[in-house]
Amino acid sequence: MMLRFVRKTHFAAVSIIVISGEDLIDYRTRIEKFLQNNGLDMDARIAKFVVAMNDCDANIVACAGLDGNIVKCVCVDQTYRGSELSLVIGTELVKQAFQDGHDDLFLYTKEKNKQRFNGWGFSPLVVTKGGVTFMEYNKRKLENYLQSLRSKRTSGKCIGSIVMNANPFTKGHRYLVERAAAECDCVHVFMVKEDVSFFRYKDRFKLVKDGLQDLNNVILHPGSDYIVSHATFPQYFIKDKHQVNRQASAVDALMFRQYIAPALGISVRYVGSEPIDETTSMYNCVLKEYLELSTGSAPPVELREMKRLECCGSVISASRVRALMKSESIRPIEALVPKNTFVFIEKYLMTSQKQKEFL
Amino acid sequence: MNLIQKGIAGTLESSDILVIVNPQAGGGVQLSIQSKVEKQFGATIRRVIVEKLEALGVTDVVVDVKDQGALDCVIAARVQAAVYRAAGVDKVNYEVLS
Amino acid sequence: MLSNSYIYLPDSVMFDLEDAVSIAEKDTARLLVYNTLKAKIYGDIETVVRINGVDTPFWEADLEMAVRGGAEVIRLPKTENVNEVKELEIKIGKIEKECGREFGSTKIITAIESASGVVNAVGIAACSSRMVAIALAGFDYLVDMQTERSSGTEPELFFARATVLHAARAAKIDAFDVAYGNVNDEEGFMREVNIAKNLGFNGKSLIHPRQIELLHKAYQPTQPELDHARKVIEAAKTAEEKGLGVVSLNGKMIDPPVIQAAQRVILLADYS
Repeated sequence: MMLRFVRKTHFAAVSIIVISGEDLIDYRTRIEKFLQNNGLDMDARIAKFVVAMNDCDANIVACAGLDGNIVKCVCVDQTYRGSELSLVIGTELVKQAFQDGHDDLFLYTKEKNKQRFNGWGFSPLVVTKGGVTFMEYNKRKLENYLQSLRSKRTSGKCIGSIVMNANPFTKGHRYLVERAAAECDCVHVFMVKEDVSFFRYKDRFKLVKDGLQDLNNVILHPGSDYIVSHATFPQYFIKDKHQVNRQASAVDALMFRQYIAPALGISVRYVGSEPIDETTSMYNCVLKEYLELSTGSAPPVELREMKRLECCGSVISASRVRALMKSESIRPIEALVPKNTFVFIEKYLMTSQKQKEFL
Repeated sequence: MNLIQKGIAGTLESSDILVIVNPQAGGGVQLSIQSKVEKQFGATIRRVIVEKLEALGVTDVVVDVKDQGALDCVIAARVQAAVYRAAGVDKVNYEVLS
Repeated sequence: MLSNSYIYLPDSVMFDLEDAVSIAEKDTARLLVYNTLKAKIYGDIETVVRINGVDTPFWEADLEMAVRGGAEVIRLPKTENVNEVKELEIKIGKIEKECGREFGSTKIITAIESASGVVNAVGIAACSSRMVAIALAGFDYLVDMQTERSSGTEPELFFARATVLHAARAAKIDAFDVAYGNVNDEEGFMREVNIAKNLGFNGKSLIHPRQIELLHKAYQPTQPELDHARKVIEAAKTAEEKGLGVVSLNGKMIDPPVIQAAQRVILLADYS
């Protein structure tokens, strides 16, 4: 087994080790136990751990994990709290993340631990009513993003907004945007960037772009780390109701309310009503609470929940389209999606069919 | 000096500073500084960084620093080390470090 | 730690590029030491840079930095023989010329850390006009000797201590005893200090600020010692003024070695 001994620390006999890949399989149980002893749960999505280990007894005395650009499972043994060990593992974690190609890092923490991560160089972005603080390492990234948004700011009384994954773009999405465009002076449409959906971001974006180009008061924005991303709302992509977390939804809602909406002067956010999917309906509920909240530094944003477009007795949704694709029934899809999307799906299914035959 | 990759040097430990430099073609020098002592020393930290970048002939770079109360000489050392790493150059030219 | 060590008032401060620095951080450590040396925040405190051994790929870059940075002394670890010191000396001279530093202003301390180093100590101590001191380093030496540290009178280190010390005295340079690793054990530290002091070492390598005051105290002459030394010097002075060849104090003859010892006591009192 390959261990990477990063360095000796100036703490008596403590080594810092970076563990990832296959090594992590061997270490997982030990890290999990250490976390448990300190009242924390292991996160299965962590791909890399920085661990501080006592050289004498090989006990773990501190750890911190990386799930993409999110810092998780940070824990320092009681006897080392208040020492610099936390900063030593923080340094290594930041270095690892940046060497892995990330240019920003995020984390969630309780408000009482805010100070510690401030010492790691993180700045708080939003705090939920439940005291969950969302922090960012490279605050300039957010500032740059908001700056780029401001350049697309339009004047008008009613500025609308929609966030969509469009996995894939359906007539339902088109209907929602059309309704919003009719009610508002301008509508900003934000794509979800994360590439964990069935359709690739690149393809989703193209289909939305083609599907909306005739609406001249609609501005399409590429996805970012700050809107329904792996960072702001990890649960959105997991779709496991046990992991559904109001606090994470709240963070995403607050990011929109405090930073994105003011940058563009957004006054209304549109969502489709959600009768089926629990994660989405809970998210809508939290959105309403935080966007319309009368307190807070940024002006409130009205949430308009629109009844979804129906076809053949039930609502049109992207998941319905995907289900049909899975069963390879292509004809019924035609009624649910715009022409461009249909052509894309047809091509997609044909290619995968060919691949299957080939195999 | 021509930067070809990300360069990281320093630590978050007290009296040190963590410097991350990123080349950005034609974008000039962009600094973002977070410091425990920003109020009193923010301007000094900025001046030291700019001076050292100039001496090394680095013109297009994004620099992100987290300062934990480092002395000027430590700031200088970390900036230089991050730049050398970003340039992929091993041999230090002490004549230009000033 | 690097930047604030002057607040502990040591006689000299040694920047380590060797064991305390991981291989991945040799480059950053060099720049840190260089800028710290250049900033001259240490005032009168002597600056020493411990470079990596000549058997590593790092020592030449270390040396380049240290000489250009203005370090007063280079400490060469794991010195085995005279050839290594000669190689170091030539390199230092070359860098001094290149950077415009006064030729010969960079001094050398060698650390003896092996059996062959001890055996060659006499030659090593005398081989360079830059050599100001020779130090014994215990850990690697004892591994090489296939033994380990004991407590008490430490017979395992006796031969090395005596040899290194003789080499130093014959070459008229200083000798420094091994570092004491357990920073929390004051008693053990003081026991060792007394052994070294009684043998005749000029001092000891330290690894923690809290050892500085302890060492200074141990080497500080007691008040009766100091009083006696002052009287000796005074008596010698009076004798000289009166043109007397031989003097005595309280019935004891005072000859040149006694006067030298007294001068050393006063010097030590001034330093500690």
